[in-house]
Amino acid sequence: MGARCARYGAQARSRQPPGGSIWEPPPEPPPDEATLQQRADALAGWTLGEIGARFGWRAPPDLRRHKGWIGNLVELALGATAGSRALPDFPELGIELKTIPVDARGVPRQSTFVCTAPLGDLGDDWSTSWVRKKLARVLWLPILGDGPPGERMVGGAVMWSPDAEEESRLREDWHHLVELVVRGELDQVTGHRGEVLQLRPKGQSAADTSWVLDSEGEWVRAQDRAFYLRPSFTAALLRRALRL
Amino acid sequence: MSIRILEEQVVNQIAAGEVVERPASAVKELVENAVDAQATAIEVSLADGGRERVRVVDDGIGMGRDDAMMCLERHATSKILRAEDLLAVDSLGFRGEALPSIAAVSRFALTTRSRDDDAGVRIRVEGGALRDVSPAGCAPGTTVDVRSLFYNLPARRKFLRARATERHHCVETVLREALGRPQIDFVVRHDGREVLRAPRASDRLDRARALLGPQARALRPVAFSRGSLRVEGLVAPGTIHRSTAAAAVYLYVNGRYVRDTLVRRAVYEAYRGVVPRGRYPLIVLDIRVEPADVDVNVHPTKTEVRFRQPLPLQRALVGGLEEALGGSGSAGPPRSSAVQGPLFGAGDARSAVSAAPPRLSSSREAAGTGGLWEGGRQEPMGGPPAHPDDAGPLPTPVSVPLPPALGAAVPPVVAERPESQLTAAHAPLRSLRLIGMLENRFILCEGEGLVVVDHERALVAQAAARLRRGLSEGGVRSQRLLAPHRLQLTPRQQKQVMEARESLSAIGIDIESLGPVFVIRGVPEPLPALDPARLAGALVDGLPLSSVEDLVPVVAQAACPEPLPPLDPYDARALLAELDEAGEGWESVSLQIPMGELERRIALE
Repeated sequence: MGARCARYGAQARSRQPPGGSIWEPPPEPPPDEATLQQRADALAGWTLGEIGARFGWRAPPDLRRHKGWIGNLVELALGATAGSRALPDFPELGIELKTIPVDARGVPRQSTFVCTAPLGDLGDDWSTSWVRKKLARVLWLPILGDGPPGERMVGGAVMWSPDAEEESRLREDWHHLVELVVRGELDQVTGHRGEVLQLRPKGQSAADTSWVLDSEGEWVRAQDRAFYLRPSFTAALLRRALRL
Repeated sequence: MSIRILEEQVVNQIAAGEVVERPASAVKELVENAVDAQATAIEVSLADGGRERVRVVDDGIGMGRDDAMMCLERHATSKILRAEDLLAVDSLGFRGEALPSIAAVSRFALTTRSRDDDAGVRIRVEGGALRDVSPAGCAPGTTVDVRSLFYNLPARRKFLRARATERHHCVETVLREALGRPQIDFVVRHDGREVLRAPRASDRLDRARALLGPQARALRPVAFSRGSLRVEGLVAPGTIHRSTAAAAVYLYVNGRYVRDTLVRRAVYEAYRGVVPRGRYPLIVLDIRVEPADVDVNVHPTKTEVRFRQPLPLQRALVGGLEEALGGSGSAGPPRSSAVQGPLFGAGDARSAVSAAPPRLSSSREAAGTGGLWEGGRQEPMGGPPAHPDDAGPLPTPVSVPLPPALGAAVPPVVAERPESQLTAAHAPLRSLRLIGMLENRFILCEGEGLVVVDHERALVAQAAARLRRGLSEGGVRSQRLLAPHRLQLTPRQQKQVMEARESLSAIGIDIESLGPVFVIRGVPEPLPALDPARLAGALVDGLPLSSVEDLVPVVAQAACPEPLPPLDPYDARALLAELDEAGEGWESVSLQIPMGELERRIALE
């Protein structure tokens, strides 16, 4: 968790809660997938404010300067350990946790960040790519509401792996996007490319750049990107899992 | 002009014309090859209705280089060896004609790799002429890429239909294969868009429900055997029918989709008097006979077969299907304990129709076009189906004895209680002819008089039946909610809910306490439209609800949407059929005004 969240995260636990009740210690990492699913199920229906109060976390008034607050809180409540390392959130289980803000009909409000994509090292093959590793097994946790973070509610959790069709669509997009980068056609790599997967600049990493070859074969510095899942893709998987 | 031997390329093109009539023929042959190659996933990509491109990718056993070269020779096959093997064909293909035929009339590429090889091979053929053979990096399995079909036969290309038509034929071809093989993943894309998707299914029923639309919900498994004949499949009640046989009647012989007239007539005969005139029952049947008893080598496309003993087979089929639809109940898999008697009561419907007085029959015919619902679906359910190949009764039709209770044209209960005017309908609901809706509140039907079914009560009874069925199977599954519903309860209500938690869980309601707040996280899976807020209100109003018996009516009532959803004739038939099948509560949802009562009222007026 970044320092900017200190007032609203673990560092905010400087005082006992009113009434003298005891904050819960964060749970140990889940030993298996079933336990993780149970924990996620048990969060459904709680507001983020209520979950935060259990662990002594105060909810920020908004997420403009606390972008990772929801993810960090949920990771804490579920016993995730990987933090911001380049590992799945539950490394022993190989499961990635993704919170996904949705409206009341289950339509995602935004695209879903998958992983950063340093342009100089996108990988050679889909089968060994970070995107595939990150999406091999995902616990989707819908977050309902768009008011103050503390009032938003956790929805029904979905444990998911891409089926053959989903993986094939992801693979096709990944190859297409990586090929554009490798050919130096960076100006072609925009948010419009990719049916289910996008490669576009990541908000917080605007300063991160890599040396890449452009289409003329010249080395140029280019802003690093990140892979995102389109909302239509995540909407479809939620729709199917939750029979919306 | 003197007589001469044709060039091989011309011979190939002529032969190709028999096997490859249109893009869908290529799709069929290539998908069948993939099935024979033990594929577990088959992906079909089409461009421009298949006219520009048909690509079939499978993950089957693939081929080595030599086999790949050999398979493009005419009459080269791994599936039979000797003439006598033709009598026991157990693969879909065997003639060794498909690939060379397709390659003769297209720009063709075959990429394949066997599981034992480190690398694959790619072979390109244009108009039957070998262009290139090269090593290829590919996964085990086979990819056949057919571009520009009939590019060298402009006359044939000119006869291809519109893009949408060709696309439809291609998709329908894959659908038929997919229906017969639930264990294989099928995907079809057209111009990059997915148009059919059939993920691996646990059984044929799941596969059919994924592919055949909402009507497939009414399908039920059926299985019977007569001697060496074994039949498995899915049958729908007579209330579920479609306008074309191609989209309704899916017949397989030893796993091969066929258009066999003999089998079709057996099906139509079994549904005679149940399905309206000119309509076709929704049915999927796989008929298993000894390979030696059927000849599949009738036509290059292999959709026609010849049986060694057609008439006994036809009789056995009719008898078995009639029994499954409405007979003694010896056919079919084990049923839910809630379901008694015939699968759908179609036999009852047939009996009711055949037992109806002539006057009623003629009035039905006269009323055939005058219903509140427009269109051909107004047909009465009686009368023989007028199928093109239904030239007359079968040589030895199987008779179905009428249950004595249904033999009477007028229900005795009405005769004995004339003062009651309105009585509960007691004929099976599916046997009624739908007339229309009254203010979306009442379903009006013609039975032995006018039958009025209360829409709301029918929906409640349907929900209750689904819950009871789930309970009889060990508990109702819960469907997780996207948005759990929170409710504030008084301490007394909290205690009552906690006491009822076990029953709530048995009925599929996942409710948890978050201190004073309770949250509903899951609702009964068979009631997907159940609004959790409405459920919460009903539960709180109904407390205390300690037993499952208390809960069923409360939850069923909450599951009834408000306002009532519009009901079209198909939904109405499905609703009535489901109630009949459940054998539950339909007498409480309908009223019958006997013809005599109507006539008496009109006379008084």
